[in-house]
Amino acid sequence: MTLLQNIITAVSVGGLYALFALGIAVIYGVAGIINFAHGHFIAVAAYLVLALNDVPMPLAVLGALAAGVLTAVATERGVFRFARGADPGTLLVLAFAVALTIESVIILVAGSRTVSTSFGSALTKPIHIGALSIVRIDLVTVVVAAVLLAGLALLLNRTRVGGQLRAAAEDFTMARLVGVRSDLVMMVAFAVSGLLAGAGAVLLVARSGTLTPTMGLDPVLVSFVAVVIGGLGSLSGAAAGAFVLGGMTIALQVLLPEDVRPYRDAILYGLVIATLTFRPQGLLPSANERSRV
Amino acid sequence: MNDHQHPVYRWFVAVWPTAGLIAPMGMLVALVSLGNASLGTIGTGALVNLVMVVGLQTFWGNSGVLSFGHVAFVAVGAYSAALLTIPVTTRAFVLPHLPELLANKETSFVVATVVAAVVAAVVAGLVALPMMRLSGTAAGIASFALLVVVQDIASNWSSVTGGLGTLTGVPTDLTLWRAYAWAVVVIVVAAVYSRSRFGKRLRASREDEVAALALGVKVVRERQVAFVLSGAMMGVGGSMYAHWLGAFGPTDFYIDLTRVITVMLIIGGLRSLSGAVVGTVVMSVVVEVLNRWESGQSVAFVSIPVPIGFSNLLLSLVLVLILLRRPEGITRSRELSWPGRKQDVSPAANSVPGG
Repeated sequence: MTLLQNIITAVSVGGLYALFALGIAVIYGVAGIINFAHGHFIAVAAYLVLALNDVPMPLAVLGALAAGVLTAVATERGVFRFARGADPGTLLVLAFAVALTIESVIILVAGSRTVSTSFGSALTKPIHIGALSIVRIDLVTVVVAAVLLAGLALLLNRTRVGGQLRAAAEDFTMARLVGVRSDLVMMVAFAVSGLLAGAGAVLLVARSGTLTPTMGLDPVLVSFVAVVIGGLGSLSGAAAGAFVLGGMTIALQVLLPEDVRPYRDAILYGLVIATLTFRPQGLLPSANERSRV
Repeated sequence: MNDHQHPVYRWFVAVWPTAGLIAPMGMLVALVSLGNASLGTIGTGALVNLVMVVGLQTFWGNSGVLSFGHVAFVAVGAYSAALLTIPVTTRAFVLPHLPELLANKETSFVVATVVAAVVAAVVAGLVALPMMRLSGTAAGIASFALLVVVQDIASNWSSVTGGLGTLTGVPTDLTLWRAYAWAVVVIVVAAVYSRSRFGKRLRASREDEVAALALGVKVVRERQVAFVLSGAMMGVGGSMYAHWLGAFGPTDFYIDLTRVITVMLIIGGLRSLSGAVVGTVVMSVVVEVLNRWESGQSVAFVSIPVPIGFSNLLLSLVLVLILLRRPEGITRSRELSWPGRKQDVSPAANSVPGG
């Protein structure tokens, strides 16, 4: 039974990572930006949950999603639009700068100390099914992740703008040449990313109940890893990478000997460096990633 | 240009950019040393940052490969030096489970700093073996991963680092002038490297990797050389940091410090040593003035009420603007040049946004 329980935890952790990883992958695919500020989209949405503590829960969730989308779109319109086509290094530093700006705003408005909220505290209680004891938030996370992943798949595969988005991710210049409106596609990509950040933020707040201005940092570092494992620029790869990572995190936690366990993250990130060294394009690279001379 | 080939003239032209950085800084340090003790401490801290920024520039600026992981070597340097200079009796108290080998040796600050540089260089050399094959996005993520790995080890290896808590008992014997002396050493080393054939080959690969490879530059090897050298400089910075504050913990060497030195370097101008120095000096002064205004003090009889936290916002916005409008920084990434002599540095095309 502990095995089944661990698997459920792993799927839930993987689902949460998948939301974050897809948010990063969708922007990387279209804009070529490793969006270091994604964690700060998450933080903005989370603080909105805190601010809407007194309104009904569905409204608070909607507010958080809107905050995520607005922050992401504002970032694109206000900053990244003016740096289109810059080299990846400049873009990464720019994303870093955007992250610092958002963080400063949060600190200015809400202070830098850790704050806590009772939002979703009912979800942290376990429910019992036979000998299984499952925390409710794990189940909610699995369901939300499944719905959002299915929705994203529908958007990408069944709608006009989704097709344009995939075309732009495949080859941005070529997509523009055949009439894809780059501004629109860029905005949709950031909006989708912001929506995923908002949903992740709600789940994260319900899970931990505490907020700090840098709360999005760890999830984002983890998602970088997932995106790298899945192959930079590949959306399904990113989702797969997130679930692999969720499984690995739980497996390392369970299987590592007691005295090595504290070094779990060091081992995990050491594996990332090793992966990148031997497969700089990720384990499942998308076809157009290799630049030719 | 024939009159300009005289050896004395050429010597002047060669040392001018470095001397032109060091001398005004010396005057600034002399000025700061006239102020009160707290100003001296702040000045020392700025010089510690300067060493780290110059170390970061030596790799990032010359190679064009971005690194967010250099602060990891600062951590290595800080712990290495602290384990040599914390008095043995204090050490038995703050780190009771220290292995025999590290428990009983006590050295001076200078020896400890040299050892810190060597240890950091060795670690950098090991990391460089796999990591220098990467560039662009992959390099950025891998360098982050390095930062997390070192952070995790420093937080959990309690018997040697004291774990997540603060490691205390480091003698605070880094004076303002000592810090200046170390900064001068590091700047001179960086300048000599940058003018050496190694530095020139590396910059060639930064401008056009394919062309450099075609000319026989071993790009990976040159990056490794720069990485090890800059790792050693970060180690020096770590030792200085430890002896500046006397107490530190693993979280001192994480995102916050990375942000500070990255902002300083980019605002100054990533691609030149002058940029690293000017960026650090300008940012240190601006941050200090804003901090005083935030806490309600006056600077040069001017007091502007600034809400707490506002200075960080201002600095981040300036960073965004500089990246969008002037990605070569306030020095335009040029070195100081002998008056009247033509600049031979042309801006790199690929760093201009929208290019």
